[in-house]
Amino acid sequence: MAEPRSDILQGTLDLMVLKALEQLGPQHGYGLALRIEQIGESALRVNQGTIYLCLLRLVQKGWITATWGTSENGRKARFYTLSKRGRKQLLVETENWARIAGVMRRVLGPDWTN
Amino acid sequence: MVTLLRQLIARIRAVFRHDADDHDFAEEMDAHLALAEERLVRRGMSREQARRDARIEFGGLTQLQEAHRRTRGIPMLETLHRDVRSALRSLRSAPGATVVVLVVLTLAMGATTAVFSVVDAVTLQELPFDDPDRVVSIDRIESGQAVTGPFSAPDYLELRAQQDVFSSLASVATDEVLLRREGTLAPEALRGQRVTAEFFGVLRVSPAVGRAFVEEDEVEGRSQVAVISDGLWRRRFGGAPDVVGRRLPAAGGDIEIIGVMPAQFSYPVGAMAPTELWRPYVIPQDERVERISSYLRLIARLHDGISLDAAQARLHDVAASTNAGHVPGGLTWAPALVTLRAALVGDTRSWMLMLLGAVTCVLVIACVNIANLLLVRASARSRELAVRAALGATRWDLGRMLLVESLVLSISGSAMGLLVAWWSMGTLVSLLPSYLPRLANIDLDWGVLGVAGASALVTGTAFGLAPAFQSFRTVDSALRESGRTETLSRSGHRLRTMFLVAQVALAVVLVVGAALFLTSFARLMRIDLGLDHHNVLLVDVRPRDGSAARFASLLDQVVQIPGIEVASLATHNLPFSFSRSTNPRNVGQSQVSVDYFRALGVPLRSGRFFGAADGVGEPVVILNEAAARHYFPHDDPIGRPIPGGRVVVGVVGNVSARGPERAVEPEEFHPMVEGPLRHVTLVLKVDADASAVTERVAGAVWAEFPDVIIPAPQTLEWALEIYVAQRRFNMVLLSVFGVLALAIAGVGIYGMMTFIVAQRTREIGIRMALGAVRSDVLWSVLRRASLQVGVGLVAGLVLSWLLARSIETFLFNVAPHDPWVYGVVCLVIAVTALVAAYAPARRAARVDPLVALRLE
Repeated sequence: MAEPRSDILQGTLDLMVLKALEQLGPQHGYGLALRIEQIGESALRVNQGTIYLCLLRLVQKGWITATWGTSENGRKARFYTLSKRGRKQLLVETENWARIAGVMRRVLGPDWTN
Repeated sequence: MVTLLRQLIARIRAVFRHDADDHDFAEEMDAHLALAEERLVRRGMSREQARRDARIEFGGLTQLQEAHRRTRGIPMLETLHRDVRSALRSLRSAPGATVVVLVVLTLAMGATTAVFSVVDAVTLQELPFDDPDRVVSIDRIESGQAVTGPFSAPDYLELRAQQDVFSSLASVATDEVLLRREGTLAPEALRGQRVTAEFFGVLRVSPAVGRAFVEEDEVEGRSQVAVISDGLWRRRFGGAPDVVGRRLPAAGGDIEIIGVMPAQFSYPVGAMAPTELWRPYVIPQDERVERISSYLRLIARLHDGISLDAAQARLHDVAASTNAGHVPGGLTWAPALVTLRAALVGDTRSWMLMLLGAVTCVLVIACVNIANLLLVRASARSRELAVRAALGATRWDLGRMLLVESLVLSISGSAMGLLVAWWSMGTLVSLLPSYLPRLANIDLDWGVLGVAGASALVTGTAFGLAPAFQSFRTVDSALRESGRTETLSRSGHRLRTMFLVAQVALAVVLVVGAALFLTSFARLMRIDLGLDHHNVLLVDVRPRDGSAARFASLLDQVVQIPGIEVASLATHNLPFSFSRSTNPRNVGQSQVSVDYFRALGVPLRSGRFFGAADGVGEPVVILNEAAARHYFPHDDPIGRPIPGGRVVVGVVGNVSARGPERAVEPEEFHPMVEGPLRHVTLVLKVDADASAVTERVAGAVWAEFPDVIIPAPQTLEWALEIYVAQRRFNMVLLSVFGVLALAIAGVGIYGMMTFIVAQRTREIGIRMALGAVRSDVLWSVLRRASLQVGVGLVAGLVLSWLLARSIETFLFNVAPHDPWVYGVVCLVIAVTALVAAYAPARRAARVDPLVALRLE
């Protein structure tokens, strides 16, 4: 069975989740899904459930941690927090993206930004 | 890298948290959906609509769950984990069969592991030297004699001067160093060796601390140095780092320590009583030219590129020229080269192979037995397997499931077997004769554990494969059939019958072996040794200034000690000792005190024992019967003189002093006479526990001779043990194996017959409904059992007959084809089979035709 999305998208999603956690602080899966929908507009629209695979991977890599807490509607929910290692990783990935974006801009030419 | 590792750890952990993680995940999804639903409701959607939309936005729940599981753990490990759990469940559901399999396996693996660890240590392990296969041991064979022996100094020197096939050649002589009393340390005797400096070069081992000695140390006056063993270093010096330069208070003058050998070094390799110090060997001047005595063992390292045979041929030439240089017609000798390993392992090889063969037999019986049990179970489970197949399990899934089941069995059986081996190891080693090489190396080391693990996998696969293959065949047909009468393919039945026959045949082989060894040992023990060897204590006393008078007063002291019934002493030729002193006519000669024969329980045949006055006056002698016949073949010896003038005053019974298997040798006994006595053995008959009196005996000895070394006292029983240990060991081990094999085969027969009866319940019901009598049914089952057992018995007897020749050397006073032994074995097997088959047969005879037919 093939993975639901390509590797590039997976990496993108990881980075987006890390970034969202950095900006929002501890957050549950649903909150993160909403946030990503909001920023990604329709271009990056994925099933909300997919985000949980991404969260699982990040937990396994030790970049985020998960704890049980209570959501705003009083339900038991799992909250994710950016770890110290995750923060470092975010810096590295951001740099990577900036570099790739620069390269791609040069490859695709000046009229690409539109 | 760190991240990858973390990921791996998280995934492995997840394999074992499967259920908890599933639960957490479901809860998280619930929370997510509830939040989404809430939000949509707040936006004005109806609750029902909101729930639907929330689910749609979320995507496929089941797919996500699957993907989550795959990402979470390690799929292969997960499958294995599931298989193992299912195997455990299935094994638990048939506790009877599982317990039987585990018990059989535990015993078989325990026996295999224990025996293998002995064989490994004694014959297989690498010698602890660099490139050990180039090290050879050189013996000499006197022309016209079959036995090999040590070298004399001139021959060694000549050989060393003329040889060109060895890079180094060393001589080794046994040595003993007596230490004086020093502070709180009692005097003691150290086991040592006198070696030439090349010794360390031949073995390529250097001291761990200090230095080895060199040729410059091999000079008279400069040779008071020693390299000591790691054991002595720790025992006497507490492992002190500044040991080099310290002194050992030897009786003949202090010895300076110059080095300590590494801990793993022992020579002779792995001896129970290892050498504790090595001193330079300085050849005495008078021995350099004259062949006074032969006591040097030679070891050497072959030059690169020279084969053992080439070296042997070359040495032959050297020996020939040496012989020619000596007295014409004098002694001629030939060198005999063997690798050090062969010299060490020597005769024990075939014995160890026999043990290995016997234990392999046990393991094979166990495997075949378990394969049969599992086959029966697998066919009883053919419906379950068919259902699994119908639900989508592939053949690979089913085969793997059955294989994992048998591996779970074999691995847990082996683990328990290791425990059994570990527990029985001490007993096993204590039963082995102490002269066995490398006895001290016997241990459950990594090599043994590896072999045990490998045999667990092999056996597990071996007895798991048959059911797995059979499952392929039965799955197709099982569901189509009515399900009640799970008849098996004929081939499956043939396989099981073959397995049963094989079990019986191998059991017969082991039982025949056990019976032969038992008979040997019983006949050995029934031989009259000519003395009462129970409760006799032997204490060696070697004072520098001993005399008959002082020993007499010591005896007076010792006999006062409560618990000692008779106290006596002798100078030489004690029963079951290895050394022997003879007169020129090859008659054993020793001095004994008055009560010597009473202490040993040796009967007087004619004349009298010694009296207190026999040491002075007319010289007298007591002969044993063999010596009496030797000196006086036709006459009564009492009152007559033997060559040399001593008058015979008594004749005592023969004693098998060289063990029960050797002929009695002629002995003459003289009374104790005045004069220096350096080496005397106290022979004490004690009334019960020998260990209770030893300390008081030592006290009495030290009161008379304060500086004397008292080695650990020996009992005569112990001394005898060396001569019977191998046979006792064979008997005990083979008896255990034989009983084990019988029990396993009995279980096999019982299981097989139970299965057959269960299968034929309906047929039996019909027969009985048609008028068959119970006894007919009983007999038909027993007939079937006896047919299969009979075939196995005949096969086993033929096999034993063929194999028995190969163990002939291990037997004593019993022919390998002794008809009585084979007859008794037949009887034992028949009775076992009958006992095993009787219960199932009775169950068959009790079948109620109504119940049996209603089952349809």
